[in-house]
Amino acid sequence: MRRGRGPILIAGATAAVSCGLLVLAVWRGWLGPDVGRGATFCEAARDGWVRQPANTFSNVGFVAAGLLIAWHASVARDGRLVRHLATAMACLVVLLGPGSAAMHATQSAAGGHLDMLSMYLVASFAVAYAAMRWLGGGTALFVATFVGGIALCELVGLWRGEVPVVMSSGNAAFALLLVTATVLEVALIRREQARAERRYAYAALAALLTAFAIWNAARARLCDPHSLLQGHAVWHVLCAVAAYFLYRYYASER
Amino acid sequence: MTTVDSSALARDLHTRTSPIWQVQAEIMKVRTTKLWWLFLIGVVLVTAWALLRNGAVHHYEMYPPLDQYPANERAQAVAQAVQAKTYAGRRGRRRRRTSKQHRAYGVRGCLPCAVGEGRS
Repeated sequence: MRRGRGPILIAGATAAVSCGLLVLAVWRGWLGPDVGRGATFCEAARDGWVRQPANTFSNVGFVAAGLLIAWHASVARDGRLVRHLATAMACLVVLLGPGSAAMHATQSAAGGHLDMLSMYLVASFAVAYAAMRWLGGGTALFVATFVGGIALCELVGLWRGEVPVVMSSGNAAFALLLVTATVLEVALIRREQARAERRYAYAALAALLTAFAIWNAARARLCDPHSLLQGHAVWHVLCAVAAYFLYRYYASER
Repeated sequence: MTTVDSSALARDLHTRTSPIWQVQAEIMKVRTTKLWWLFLIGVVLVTAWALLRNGAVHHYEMYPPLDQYPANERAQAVAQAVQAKTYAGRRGRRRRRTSKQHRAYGVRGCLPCAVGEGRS
């Protein structure tokens, strides 16, 4: 990667525009009525504009992580991760914030779709980048896998049945993509195709697994609906940490 | 504002003593001495403890052990658990508590308080 302000400017603009649109959408009610989407994540819905304050504002972590990724991409030395992919990853991590906040702030159906879409984008990126390195392909393979991942998730997400542990089919598709990315990354490490700082990969995996444990505990047992300290909010913060460490792992490859 | 007043400091033209500089110096100290690591451990431990404690305290309110309730009170316990998950339910709980306190002090409890519909 070359030094330059491009990544931080693009990610900053993405953050400003997406968060601005979210504020407008919540204020003007563009996302539709409250249908209780995301109400299963413990926090009690308030009467104000922001239905679930803790679960909404904890998404700032994603915006911060995305901007941190962009800043690192702006100043880091050259590596295998090309600059425009680092910038794209920074923007996708930034979008996780307003996407998830759209659901928790409004509990609307459209907010729920934005939340799921932002998750699909990041998971598809992880799979596409791993597949590109595993198969030795170029940008075309990356784009094809990325679009295929999103399409797969959207199709699976159409099924309205309940899935054990992860609740919905969309979550199951998201989890499947993350597991696929993890398996491919482990295979790449075993193949020793490139040198990278593995501690970042382990830190990302540890943060994600801890977050998933808290996600389950907060949904099923450890719940105080009226507290501003929510397990699901901790899930958001830990996922942001995992995304940042995943980027650092990618960026450390030589 | 200076935290240390001394004649030597007054003669020293290079030592900065403005509040902003002192805050910057504190941030640099936390960063460069890796004190942030201790703060991080503290934040994680306190957050984990608070989550566990909150969850444990409210567990039986959210998930009442129905097998221990008499058959005629189970439906009410389920309804209260559902109600406790809503913001209105919280306000209702506060009002019910007030109503209980009224009864404890021999004051006649009001019906809106008991059903959670009165003004708080």
